[in-house]
Amino acid sequence: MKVRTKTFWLPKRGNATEEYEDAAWPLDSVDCETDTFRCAVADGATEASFSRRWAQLLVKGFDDETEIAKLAEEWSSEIKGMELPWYAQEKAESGAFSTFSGLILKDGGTTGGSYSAKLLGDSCIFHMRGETLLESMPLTSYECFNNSPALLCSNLSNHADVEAMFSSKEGTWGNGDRFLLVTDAIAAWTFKRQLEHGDGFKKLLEIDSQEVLDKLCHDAREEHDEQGRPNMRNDDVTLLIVEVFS
Amino acid sequence: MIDGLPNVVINRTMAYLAEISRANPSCFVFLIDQSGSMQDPFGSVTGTKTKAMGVADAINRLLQNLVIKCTKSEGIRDYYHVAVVGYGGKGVKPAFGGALENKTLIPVSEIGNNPYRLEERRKKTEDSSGAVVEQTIRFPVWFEPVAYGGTPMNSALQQATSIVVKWLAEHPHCFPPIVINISDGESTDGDPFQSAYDLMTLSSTDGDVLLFNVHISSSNHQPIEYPDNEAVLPDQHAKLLFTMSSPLPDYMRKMVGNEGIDISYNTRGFVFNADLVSVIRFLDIGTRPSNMR
Repeated sequence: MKVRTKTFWLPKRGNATEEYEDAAWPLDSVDCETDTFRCAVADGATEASFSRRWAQLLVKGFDDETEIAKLAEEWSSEIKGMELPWYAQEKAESGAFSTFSGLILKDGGTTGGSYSAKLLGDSCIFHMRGETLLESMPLTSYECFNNSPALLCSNLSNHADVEAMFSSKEGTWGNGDRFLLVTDAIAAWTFKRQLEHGDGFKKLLEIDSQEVLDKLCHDAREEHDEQGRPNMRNDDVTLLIVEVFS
Repeated sequence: MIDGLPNVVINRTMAYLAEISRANPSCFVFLIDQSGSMQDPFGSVTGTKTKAMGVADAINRLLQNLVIKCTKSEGIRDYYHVAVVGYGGKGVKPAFGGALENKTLIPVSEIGNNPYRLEERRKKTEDSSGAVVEQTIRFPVWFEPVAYGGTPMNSALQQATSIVVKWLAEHPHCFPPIVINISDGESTDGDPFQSAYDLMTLSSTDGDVLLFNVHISSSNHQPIEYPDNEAVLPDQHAKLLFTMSSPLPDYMRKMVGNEGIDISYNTRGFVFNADLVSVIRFLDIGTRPSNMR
């Protein structure tokens, strides 16, 4: 199969580029022939510190097939190696937190292939055929989003059963299908736009450059609904577009 | 409604939705009673901790939590500016010690980097195997217990008003400032209602200033937390404090409801006869951010 990817992202309004706390793998564009392709996005929680690093480890580790326990150890040993003031030490002791959505595409011959997704929290994967949404995972509507998504903590002792926290989804893909891996702010905006104007997914598919994403997010953050809420939450935004051809 | 007191006009159309960010920070003002009666034991005559000591611990822990909430990988972000004002026999003045002495409204990063001292305290935690281990933790101290003289609550509220007026002039679109007044007695420098009213009716474009009151007790009476009408209150002083307390905005009502406390549309940010547990819980709810970015 042939896989082409593009990743676009931007930090919260008012934040510096280095303060972006989502992560995506691959971050650079890919154009390759392969039997299996792995990609992921993760959204490091703003409330914690060093979440960006945890999110980066999770998406890269998914590609490498590294065990989560090893990723957690790596996060912890990096932080222990730093000289931190009292407040940063105490904050780091609580661990970092992140959502996760990972996708594995497998070649299935001339008619397409199969996919499997590993999901935790409110980062979403949209499976599109043309402009039609075939599958949305793990969340399926605007109402599903809230301020307390499930998060994976780098202190794994916080979780009774780490693997049980993930949900999974399997399916098939056809020639020319697209998978859009998105973090929550733009995922929620897409559903809201679809609900109110019927063109949320069409608008999402039209994003073909960083400039288009920047403008869309800038406008959506400035526009408010009748309740006075911005159409898009001021949050980090990540869009990973995967096109797959048999 | 107490006879002769005007009803506080409450603007319920405002939403308390403003983002709290470094570009649009908010502020907290804590007014702490430092009068002589704060030397009495907290909650029970058999207790060893005075009310002044209990409140100092609660405020220091609150400041510590606030600093940690605002801490990110690169350091402390100034989402908030904080004033701690003491009022008692020495008048009304900023209550921070050490490098922050005499400073009024201070960015949270400056607070985090300048505790008066770092105490070491013992804390029991669980290790990765689930065994209980004792750990030494650092407990930063910014604010010392003081208990002396009268209760100039009226002047303290006026001082809070001047702090907040200046803040709002510089941050007109901020998440509304939150003022928390902690006291164990009645004002000794005049009826504080008008001063409280002046403070509560200030606003940013996002909503009215929130004034909350915690009345702490030397008795063992059950605390009355977050009342929604005066009828449940035992005396005129409690009723006065009720009228001086803002109704909770939506997001705080939900937090209080989640603590298992009955709430209604008229629930106010007020605790009467608070023990140390309810003081800490009140401070936690009153300072939990709604929309920090």
